[in-house]
Amino acid sequence: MKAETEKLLAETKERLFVSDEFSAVRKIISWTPPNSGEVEDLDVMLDRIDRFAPGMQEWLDSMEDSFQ
Amino acid sequence: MSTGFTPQDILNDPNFQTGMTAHFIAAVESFDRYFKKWQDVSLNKHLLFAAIGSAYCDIYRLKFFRNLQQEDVHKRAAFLMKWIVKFVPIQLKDGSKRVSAAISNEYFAITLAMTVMNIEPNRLLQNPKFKTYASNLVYLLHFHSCEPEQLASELFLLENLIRE
Repeated sequence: MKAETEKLLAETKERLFVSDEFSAVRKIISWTPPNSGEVEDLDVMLDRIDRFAPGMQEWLDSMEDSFQ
Repeated sequence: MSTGFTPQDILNDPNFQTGMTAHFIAAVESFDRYFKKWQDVSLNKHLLFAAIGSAYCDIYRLKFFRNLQQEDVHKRAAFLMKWIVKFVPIQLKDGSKRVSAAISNEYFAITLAMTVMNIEPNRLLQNPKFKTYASNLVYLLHFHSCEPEQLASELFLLENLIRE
């Protein structure tokens, strides 16, 4: 391996395992979006559907002429 | 010999059966309530059940291979969307000529995702960007193949429209 390549490899390893950059990458990898949870309870979803129905119908009506 | 990853293995898991049943009933109810005015389409429950079962199989494999204890709600909604637009459980009735009816599965997938994610349509309707965003999402689902992980990111953005 060329000396330049070995130097670059060493720098890269240092960057990956020591530096702040890697901490940032680790944070991105382990980041989890909010709103995690168990599978929704059926009664909760049915109540939600009941509440959402007028709004969903209004949205579907509004989309009627928007996808031609 | 069973590998533990066949649909039969996965769908026999009692926890998955509970979730699948809840999502299936919620999906049927969503269609009945949200698409009440759409008389030129009908819901094929056999295809809907197959779509939800396929979504659960995908989620199971994802959880196993990535060692996830609990998938987040965006992923759950995204996998349901992916399989609904693949199985197309909403069928056109003879004589239907509406463009919207022809893409009703895409609309159905979005409404189900919003329901699963608890995204209130009334709050989205107040946002002027929503209609354009929704049109693009329908376009994406109808004309392109998209991975559930990409859809999950899209849904995260959609959620942010009302959370900010």
